[in-house]
Amino acid sequence: MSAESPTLSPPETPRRRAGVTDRILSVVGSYHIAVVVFLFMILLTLLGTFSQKTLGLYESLNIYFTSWVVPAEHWIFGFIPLPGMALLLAIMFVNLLAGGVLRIKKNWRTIGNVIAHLSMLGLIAAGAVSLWYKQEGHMRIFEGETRDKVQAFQDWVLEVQEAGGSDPNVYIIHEKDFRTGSPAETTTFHRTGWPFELKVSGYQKNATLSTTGHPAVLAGARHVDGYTLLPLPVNPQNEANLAGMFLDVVDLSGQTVGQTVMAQIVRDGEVVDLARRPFSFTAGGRQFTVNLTRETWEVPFSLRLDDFIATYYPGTRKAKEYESHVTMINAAGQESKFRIWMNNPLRDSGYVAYQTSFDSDSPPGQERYSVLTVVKNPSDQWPLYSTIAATIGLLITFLTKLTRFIRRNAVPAVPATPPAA
Amino acid sequence: MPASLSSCCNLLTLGTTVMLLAGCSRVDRVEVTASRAPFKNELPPELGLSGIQRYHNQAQSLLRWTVPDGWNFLPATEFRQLNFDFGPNRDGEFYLTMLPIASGGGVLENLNRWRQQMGQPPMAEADLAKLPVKTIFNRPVPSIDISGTFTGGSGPMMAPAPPKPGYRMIGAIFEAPGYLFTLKMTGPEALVAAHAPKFDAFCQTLGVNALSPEEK
Repeated sequence: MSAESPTLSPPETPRRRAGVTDRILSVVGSYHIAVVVFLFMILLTLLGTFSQKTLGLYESLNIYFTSWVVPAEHWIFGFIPLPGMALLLAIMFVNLLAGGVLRIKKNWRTIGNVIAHLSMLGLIAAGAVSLWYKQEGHMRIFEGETRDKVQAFQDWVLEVQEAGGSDPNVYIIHEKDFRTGSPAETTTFHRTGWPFELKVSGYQKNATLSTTGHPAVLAGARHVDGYTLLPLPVNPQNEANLAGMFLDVVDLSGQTVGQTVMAQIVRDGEVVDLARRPFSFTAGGRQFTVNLTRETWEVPFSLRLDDFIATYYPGTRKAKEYESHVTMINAAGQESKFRIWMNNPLRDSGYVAYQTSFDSDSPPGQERYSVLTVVKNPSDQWPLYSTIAATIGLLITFLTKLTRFIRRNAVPAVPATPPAA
Repeated sequence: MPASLSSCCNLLTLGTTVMLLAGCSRVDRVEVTASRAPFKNELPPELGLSGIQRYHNQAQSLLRWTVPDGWNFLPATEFRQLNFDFGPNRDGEFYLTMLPIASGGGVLENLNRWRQQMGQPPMAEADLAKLPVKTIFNRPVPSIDISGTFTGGSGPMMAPAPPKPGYRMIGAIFEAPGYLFTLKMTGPEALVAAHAPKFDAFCQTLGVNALSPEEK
C-alpha cells in the first residue's frame, strides 16, 4: 500500500530536481489514486461476476479482467467508460512502487512493509507475465497413442500458408483480430510479401455450415460454393462456440481471387478436424491455403498414454478419481514414466500437465482417452514466491509492532526498597 | 483541495478521455505478424478443394431425415451423402447427393444420364415442365419414374455394372443456389414398387438444417 506518513522521507532539501521527483512520486504514489483504483476494482469485480451468468466465464474475463479498457458496449448505461482490470493493476503497480517502495523510509522498522509491498508487485507482475506469455491448451490422448501437440481451449485462428513457396512458415490470425461486433463489419488482413489481402466478414462467434437448400439461403442469405453460414446461440461456455465467417481474397489489383465460408462441422458431438482440407487459392501466381482451427502448438516432448484408470462412486457414473500413466519422451528420445492425477501435475521443461478430463461417455473400465491441460507459464511459481514473501514481510511488520507495543506498555520495575515506616 | 487530490482528478479526467477513445475504436485493417514453423512431420495441405470436397464426408451432419422402415443406413461415400439399401437381398438402393453445380452438371443433363442408364432416349429441355413433381424442402421438384434395364454403375469413376433387366428407377433432382441435389432409388421393379411410397415419405422428412453441438 502507499507510504504511511510516519515513515515518509523527511522534508526535501531545496534541490529542484529532488523536489520534482518527490512531487511526481507523491502524486502517483498517493492514497487517492489507490482508493480510486480499489473502488474501480470492486466495481469491475461485481460487474464481471454478474456478467458471467449471461456471458460466461471466458467472455467476462476478457471484457473486465484482462482488458485495458472495457469495450464500449459494456460501459455503464452505455456511455460511462470503465477501465479494464489490466489498466487498474498497471496503475496499482506504479502506485505501489512509488508509494510503497520508493517513497517509504527504509530502515529496520519498515523492512517488513517494504517486503510486503514488493511481494504485491511480484503478484501483479506474475499476472502480467501470465496474461501476455501463458500458453494453455489441452492434449487429448488415446491409450497407446503418443502426442506432442497442444490445442487451445478457446482461441480460433486462421492459419495462412503458402504451398511450395520459399517461406514455409504458417501465419496466424487470432480470433481477437477478426472478431467483430456485427456480422456486417469486415476486417482486412495483409502482410508484406503477400500478393493478396484477406477480408473477413460475417463473423459469428458460434455458427455452423449448412447447404444452400436451407431456407436462409432461399431467403437471400450469402452462400459460397454451395454452403452458407448459420448463426447458433452463443454458448456461455466459450469452448463450445464454433467460430464461422466468410472469407474473400482480393489480389493487389483489387480483384477477388477466392471466396469461401469458414466454419466447423460437428459430428457425433465432436468437431471434425478439417485442417488437412483447407480453403486454397492462387494469387500472383502463388498458391496459398487458409484454415480455420483452434490454435495449436508443439511441445518439446511427447507424451504416450500407457494406461488410464478411473474409479467411480458406487452405483454412479460420477468419477471419484482418475489418473493417467504416461511416458514422457524428450527431444533426445529418453523415456520417463509419470503418474498424473488430480492436483499432482507433471512438471517438466517449463510445462505443467494437469489431469483435467477423460472420455466419460464410454462404460467404466473402457475409457478411451485422457485429457490433459498443458500450460506453459513463465510466472507459474511467482505467486507462490510472492505469497511467501508477503507472509514474511507481514510477520516482520506485525512482530515489530508487537515488540514496540510491549516495550511501550511494559510495567516499570518496582523499587526493591521497603516502604517507609 | 490538496495538490495530490487535484492531480488525481486531472489524471482521472485524462484517463476517462483515453478510455473513451480506446473503448470506441476498432481496427479494421490488421497486419499479420504472428507465425509458427511447420510442425514435425506436418503433411502439406491438400490444394484446390471445393467446398463439397472439403466437407463431403460430413454432409450428413447438415441434413435431417427419418430412415423409412426396412431401409438400411449405409456409410456415406464421396458422392452419396445419404446412402441406403433395402429389400431381402439388399439390392434396392436409395441415395442422395449434393454437388456443386459447377461439378454436378445441370438438372437436364443428370435426368438424361439417368434415362440413358435405363435405356431411354434423352429428353428435351421443354419436356422438363411436363415431368411429375415431388415436394422436397417444401418446393416442387421434377421427378422421373422409369422401368427397364438398368445399366448404371455404382458411382462416377466406377466400372460399369452389368445390365440389370426388370429394374425400376425413381429419381428427383433440383438446384438450390449453387448446388445440385439428387435423390435416386433403383432396384428390381417389384421391390421398388413396394418401397416407392417410402421415397415420398423420406422426402417429406428431409430437411436441410444447421446442427448445433447440443443437438448432436
